[in-house]
Amino acid sequence: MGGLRAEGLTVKRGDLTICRDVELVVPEGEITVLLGANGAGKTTLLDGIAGVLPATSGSIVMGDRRVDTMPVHRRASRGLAYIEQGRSVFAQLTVAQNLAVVDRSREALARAFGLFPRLADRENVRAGLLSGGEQQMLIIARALATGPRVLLVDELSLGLAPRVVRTLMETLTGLAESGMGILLVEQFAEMALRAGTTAHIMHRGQIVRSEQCKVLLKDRASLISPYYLGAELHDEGSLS
Amino acid sequence: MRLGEAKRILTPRRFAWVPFVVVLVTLGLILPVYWVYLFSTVAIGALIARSIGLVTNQAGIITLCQMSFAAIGGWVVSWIALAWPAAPFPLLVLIGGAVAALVGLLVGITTARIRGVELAVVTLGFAAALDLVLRQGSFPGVGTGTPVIPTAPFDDPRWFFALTWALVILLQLGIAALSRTAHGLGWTVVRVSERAAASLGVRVGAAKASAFALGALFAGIAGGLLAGQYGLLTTAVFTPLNSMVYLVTAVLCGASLFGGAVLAGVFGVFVPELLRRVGLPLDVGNALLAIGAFDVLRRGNGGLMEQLNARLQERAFRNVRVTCELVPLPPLEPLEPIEPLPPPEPSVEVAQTSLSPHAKGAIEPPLLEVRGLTIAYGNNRALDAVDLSVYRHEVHALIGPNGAGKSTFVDALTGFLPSYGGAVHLDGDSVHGLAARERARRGIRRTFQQVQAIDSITVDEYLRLAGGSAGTERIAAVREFLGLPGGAVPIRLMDIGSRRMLEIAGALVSRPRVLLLDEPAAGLAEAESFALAERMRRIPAEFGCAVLLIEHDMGFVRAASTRATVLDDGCLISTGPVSEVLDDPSVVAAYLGQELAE
Amino acid sequence: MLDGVISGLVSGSAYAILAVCVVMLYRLVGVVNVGQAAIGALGAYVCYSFVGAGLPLGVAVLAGLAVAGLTAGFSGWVLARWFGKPSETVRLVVSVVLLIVILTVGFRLFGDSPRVMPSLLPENSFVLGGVRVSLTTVVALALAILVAVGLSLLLRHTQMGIRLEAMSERPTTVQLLGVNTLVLAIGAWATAGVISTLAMLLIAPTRNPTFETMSFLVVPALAAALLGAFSNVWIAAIAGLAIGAIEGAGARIDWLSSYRGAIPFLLVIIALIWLRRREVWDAAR
Repeated sequence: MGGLRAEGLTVKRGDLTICRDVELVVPEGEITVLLGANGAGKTTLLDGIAGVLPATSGSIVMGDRRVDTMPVHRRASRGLAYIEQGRSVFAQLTVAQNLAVVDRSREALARAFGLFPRLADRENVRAGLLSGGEQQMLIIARALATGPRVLLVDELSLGLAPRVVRTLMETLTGLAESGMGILLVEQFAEMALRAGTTAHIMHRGQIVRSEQCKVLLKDRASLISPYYLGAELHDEGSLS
Repeated sequence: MRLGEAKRILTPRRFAWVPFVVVLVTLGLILPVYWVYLFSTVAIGALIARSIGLVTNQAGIITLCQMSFAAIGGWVVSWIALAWPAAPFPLLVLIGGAVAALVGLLVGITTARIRGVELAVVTLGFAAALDLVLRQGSFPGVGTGTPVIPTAPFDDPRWFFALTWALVILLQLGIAALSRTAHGLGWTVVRVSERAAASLGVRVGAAKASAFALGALFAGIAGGLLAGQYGLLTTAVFTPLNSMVYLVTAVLCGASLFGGAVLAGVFGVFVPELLRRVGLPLDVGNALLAIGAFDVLRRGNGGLMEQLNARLQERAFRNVRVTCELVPLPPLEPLEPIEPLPPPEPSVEVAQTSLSPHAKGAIEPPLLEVRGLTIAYGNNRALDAVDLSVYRHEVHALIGPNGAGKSTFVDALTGFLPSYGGAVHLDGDSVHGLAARERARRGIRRTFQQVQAIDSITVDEYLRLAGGSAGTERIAAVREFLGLPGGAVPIRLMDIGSRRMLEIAGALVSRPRVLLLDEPAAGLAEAESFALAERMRRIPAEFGCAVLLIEHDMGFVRAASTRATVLDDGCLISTGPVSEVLDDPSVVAAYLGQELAE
Repeated sequence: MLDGVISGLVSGSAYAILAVCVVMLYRLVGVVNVGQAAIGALGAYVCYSFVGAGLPLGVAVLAGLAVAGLTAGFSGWVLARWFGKPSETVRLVVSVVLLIVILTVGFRLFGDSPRVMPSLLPENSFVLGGVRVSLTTVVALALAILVAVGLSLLLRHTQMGIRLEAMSERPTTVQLLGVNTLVLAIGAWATAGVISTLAMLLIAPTRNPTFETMSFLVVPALAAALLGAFSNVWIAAIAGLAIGAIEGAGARIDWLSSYRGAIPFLLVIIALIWLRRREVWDAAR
């Protein structure tokens, strides 16, 4: 049983409790989509699963082991990879050196270039000088070098051209097909829903709706818009 | 909380002066001379610790050279005493302090643009250099064996005791009073963030320089008193190491408070005494104090006295409301959005009529006009020729997906970016080239995404600081409008949502012309968010300023604003009345990423 | 004058080595370590004590290096383990605490009277271009260059070095890639401690130091590091050598001689004011 399961997860950022009692399953071999307006708590949830932020309660289980008690670097070696929001390349290091942080061997380099031939041309270029899309490719390749079974991805599409995003999404789909469990956080719902199997919508730190992606795609306006574009707030503060 | 209640509450910040002075007088009269001498040294140590408390604990500048300022004070006193033995001792001490203060001012001015660890290292360099220079000669009087003898009656230890403590208390009263003025409150903001300070209209350079000067004054007076106490001074008293030991002691004891400074003086004198009696070597005391400071830093709650003060505050305000209470308001009539002025043709004068903003089709010039704002980093365009107009009586929302450039936009407007393309006009006047502080003074006020309200002061002090030269007339109105807790409530006890409101309140108190709010509803619960939105809508009418707000919560945007502008990837994609904009399919597509899916 | 400059190169090499250690530690773990020279002094004095007790030189040197490395590594562990994400200034105060504690220990163990330190190298010297150059000068200079070059190579070409560089940019991301950054940090501290001891062993015989004066050799090193904005290793190294050279030259000028120790401070503050003249703001939004 691969994949990841989070139960009753509560995550604080500083003094503020952002995610409360979240339950989430990331099955292997699928892309699970996490949607929600900005400020809904998606990044905080991912930070909590990866261990960047401590979870004040709840459990995270990967395979058959609880990982919520492990420090960050141990979770990574147990098969959890996290692609953070914003492009987290090591700007002063070259492409090859970025990969070398994980694995120096020529095989690892070859695998990365096999997946993203574009990077092979830029092997000795400083990562800070790459284009946005190339940086994102490098980040994915670097995360894959750790041999993960579960991949958390936070807003892959930020600031990238549509064509580039489509290429990256195809890569993720391929990875899922080969057995990886992927949790994809996106602000731009359309494209994520087309690639995913199950979707969860977060609002104010909780998962308010879980649905099959194809269902949401068909009825996107009425299902998604309230969480993104709001509706009239009533006195009791309920959403219409 | 009613006014009567406020007065009855124990403000632990008010030091228990009367009992303290009584105790001092008693000690001065009954104790044997040896102990009186020790307690005079406690006072001098307290003075040095208080100087560090001011520069480091209050203004946030790590100083490793306070003993050097003391050395200057001691040197001046020794020199004058040698030349004019009859000059009254207290006068000498004050002159020594003044000279040290001048040097401190000079240091503060030259290091205006240096900050953080670099500044700390510079102070260490200064301390080492001065130590070296002093070692070359000796203090005045040492060569001829002429000690400084304080003029009568201060040559009597009990009178000397009275002098040291009188100076300590007077200086503390002075600095406490100054800390409550807008200038003194500026120190606490500078400590938190220089950006926040500038956005409140504080002159950062002046605040840092004054902190250095006053700290040097205190230390210089302490040095002068040491000259009187020891008679002959040596460099061993004023080494950089001693400055460091005083620093860690001040951190340990929490010397931003008078009690903490006195405690530091006590530790400085009685820890070695204790060690001497127990038979342990004296320098172990330094290590103990250092380790104590380490523990205090680890906990992150401030020094011993500061922790005690915090706990007393919590107890005093246990039954007092410390949150903002927004009661529901009667519903407003929906306002008609203002029609924008047609773009001006270069050669035609556009007539400006002042019609009521509620009338449909009213034409009035915008209060804040942004034309062609462009910010590019290399190939990356964070903002691309954005136009935006905010009118005098409207609440205008700036929305868009994450990364669209909204916060960058506000940074450019408020002067926090070094350069940008395009023009920004406030009421017809260009703000080009003006620094952030200057723009804040002209009436462009902002809040930040990370709340910048300061922990160590009270609600009233923050409002007074934010109000600045606009004075205090608006404070009562703003307090009621946003349901702020009582003025004596320390900000430390407030939750983050209330602190956000306090930040908005501070901006309102300063009589702004336009208010830029960066995610004011973040961290607020649903009901509070709605209540804030209602109030936001009323701000232009009640306070005569326009509002530009960045928000992600669309319910809030609908309830609070009349017009909206949408940015996507640095470009303006829609502008107009809120309901039209939010229903615009291209805006929906931008949020859902439909273009990406095509 | 030239022989003044040359004789100042021993001190300059020590300053350079210490400055490189300070810069490296700041880049890797974000601490400006004012106790860097004190750690080195501790190692050096331990070595001398063992030599005085009759142990062979090699064993004594190794013992000194080991003590310095362990002390430094322990400090690094304490800082990483006991603090969350402290600000830079808090970290600086912690390094002041470290300095005070080591000074106390040093004072207890070694007293405070000036000593004549044995030179670990033979007292040879030779004449080069009309100037007398001692073996110590050559070795010190060689060590300084070796340290600067060696660290640069280490950082660029070994996996550990690459990880350390990555850590200085994004420590969290490095952890997310499965690397134990705590161990790396401790290793960085220990290495800096060992290298500082070598610097102290070279410079101590040329002065009559007390434990305290040795520890405060960190001040010119900090001045050199400051010129490199605590980030450029090569500027720090060259500045360290320059400060030593200027001190040496100053020793030959009568009226300046006693005050020459204050020159670094003056130069640094002038340089900093010039370099920072355009800066406006502190940390981010």
